[in-house]
Amino acid sequence: MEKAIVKLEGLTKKYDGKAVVDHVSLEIQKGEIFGLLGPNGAGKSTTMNMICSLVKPTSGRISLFGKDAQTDMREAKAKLGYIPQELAIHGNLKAWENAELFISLYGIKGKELKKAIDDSLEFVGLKEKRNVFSKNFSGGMKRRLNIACAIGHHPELLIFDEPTVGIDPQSRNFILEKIKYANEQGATIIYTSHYMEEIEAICSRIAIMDNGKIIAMGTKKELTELVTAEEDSNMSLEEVFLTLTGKKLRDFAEGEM
Amino acid sequence: MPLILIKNNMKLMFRSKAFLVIMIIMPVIVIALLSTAFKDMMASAREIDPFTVGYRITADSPYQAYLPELKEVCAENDVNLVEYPEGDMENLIKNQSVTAFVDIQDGDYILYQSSEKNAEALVTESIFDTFFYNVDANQVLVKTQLEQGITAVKLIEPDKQLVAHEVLEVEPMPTSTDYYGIIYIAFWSFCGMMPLAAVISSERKNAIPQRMRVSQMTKGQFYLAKFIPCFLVTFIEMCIAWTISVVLLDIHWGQIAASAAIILLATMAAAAIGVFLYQLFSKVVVSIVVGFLLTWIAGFFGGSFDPYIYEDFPITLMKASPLYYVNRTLVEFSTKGFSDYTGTCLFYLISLIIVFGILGSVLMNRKVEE
Repeated sequence: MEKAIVKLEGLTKKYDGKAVVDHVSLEIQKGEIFGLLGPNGAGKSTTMNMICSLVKPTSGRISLFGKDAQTDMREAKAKLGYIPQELAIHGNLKAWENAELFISLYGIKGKELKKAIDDSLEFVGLKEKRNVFSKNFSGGMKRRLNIACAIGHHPELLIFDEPTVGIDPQSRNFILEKIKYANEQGATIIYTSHYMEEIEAICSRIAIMDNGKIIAMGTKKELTELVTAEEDSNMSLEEVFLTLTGKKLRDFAEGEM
Repeated sequence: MPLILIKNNMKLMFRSKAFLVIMIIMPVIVIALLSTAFKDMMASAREIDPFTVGYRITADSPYQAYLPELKEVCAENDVNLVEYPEGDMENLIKNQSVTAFVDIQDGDYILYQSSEKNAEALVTESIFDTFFYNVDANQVLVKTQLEQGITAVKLIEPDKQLVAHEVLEVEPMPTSTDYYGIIYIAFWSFCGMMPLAAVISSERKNAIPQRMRVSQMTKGQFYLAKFIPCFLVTFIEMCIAWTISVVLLDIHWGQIAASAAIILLATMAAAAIGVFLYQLFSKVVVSIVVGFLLTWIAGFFGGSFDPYIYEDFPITLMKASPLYYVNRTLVEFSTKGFSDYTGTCLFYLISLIIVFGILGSVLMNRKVEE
């Protein structure tokens, strides 16, 4: 029997009475790469933030590793790695210092910490650049360091919030390969991106969100079957997505999400 | 204790060149400028070295007979009385042959002085006034006794002092260099929130607070990771500025260990206030402006911009400023070796650390909760 690492039940978040996440329920099994897709303002980031305890839900329940995340999050945090959309590294610290700082937040010390720094920098291909200040890195290198800072404590669940925004194709490909590798090593992944081909390439299951609700969930094949009766359809994920969410522009002012 | 986070936050603070200049170089420059600018103002109560007074006396002056005794009195007061029967008294003063000049005439005398030697002139005037008062009094006494047919004339005993000269215990004055050298290290210690801006702005520019909140850090650790590096870096910077100013400007601190402890407590109070302000305002620049304004006001009333003993501020306002107690304590350590204000100073600083420590951590917890 598969074990749910993440379980959301009726998860709702309201701002000024308006629901930006509306009764979302889903389960993510151990070993999955779970993709969360949705147009701007769909509620993806708010859902991610609630899973990470960065935002308190208005109602509903979150279970992480079988425990209630709202009352018993401390233990779950040790198994959680969060890669935010914005870079979360200090420009005035060297690569190894950034890794040291963020890995140490999980109580790792001494030789174990040194090994974790080396391993995580090697994982993202920055071991040779360990003594370079991160402000001198290219966009792709900063993104990779951003990931290194979140994986040093060997989390069982890795949450990537659009980790490939604004970087070159080589860096993007490198990051995707590393995400797949981390998954092969046993990590469960939650991944959001606007790049459909990325989701299509790495995710085993996908949820499509719109207006705070999950409107479809399943493998790519299952999602395709929702919009076409053809058995051997060659529809891309983008076509499926646009069919499900519509082609109307989604403009959200700051604060609406 | 989040030691690695504290260490890296300290690195961030020390790598901010602008704040290093503000916290180390600026106090030394300000001390050098102000101590020079206010040198004369602070010099009025200095010790007076022995000096020479020139005199001229008319041939038929009734005081001629008393000159040997007058010279004796002057010598007792470290004043060398030298006769200049000829010569221009203005030139004598200008070329510093004499510090003052007394022109003794038939019934009175005129004292000439330079505008730079007020203290010496006052000493001279006091000696001459007292001496001639005694002479005149004796003359009147003799005349009266003779008129009354008393042959065994009694004079005022020369040893009997008509005016007692009591040296009172007053607050010793520091030199301007010592004074500004001490109070500006104290003032800058209270600007201790500044280095933390390097960490706060770097964190807020990036998504670091979110990442930290996903970690296993407790709320208390969040607070300590800001508070401890903030006061440690400020204290180290103050020690560097302190050492540079002592070496370059020869500033005399008293009770070094106690002074350092007070500076450490001042940086802790400033760090507690700083962390509180950074939580209160979402913009770093607003927090710094408000923090600096509060420090400036505390310094204004606490004597950081003028010697507090000359200030005309209401004493209530002065005593409301924590810097007043810090300044007085540190300056009196230098001039007297002890200070009656030490207890109040410690009470004030520890109270600030506790009150703003609680407020800052409560505010930080609330932000984490949000």
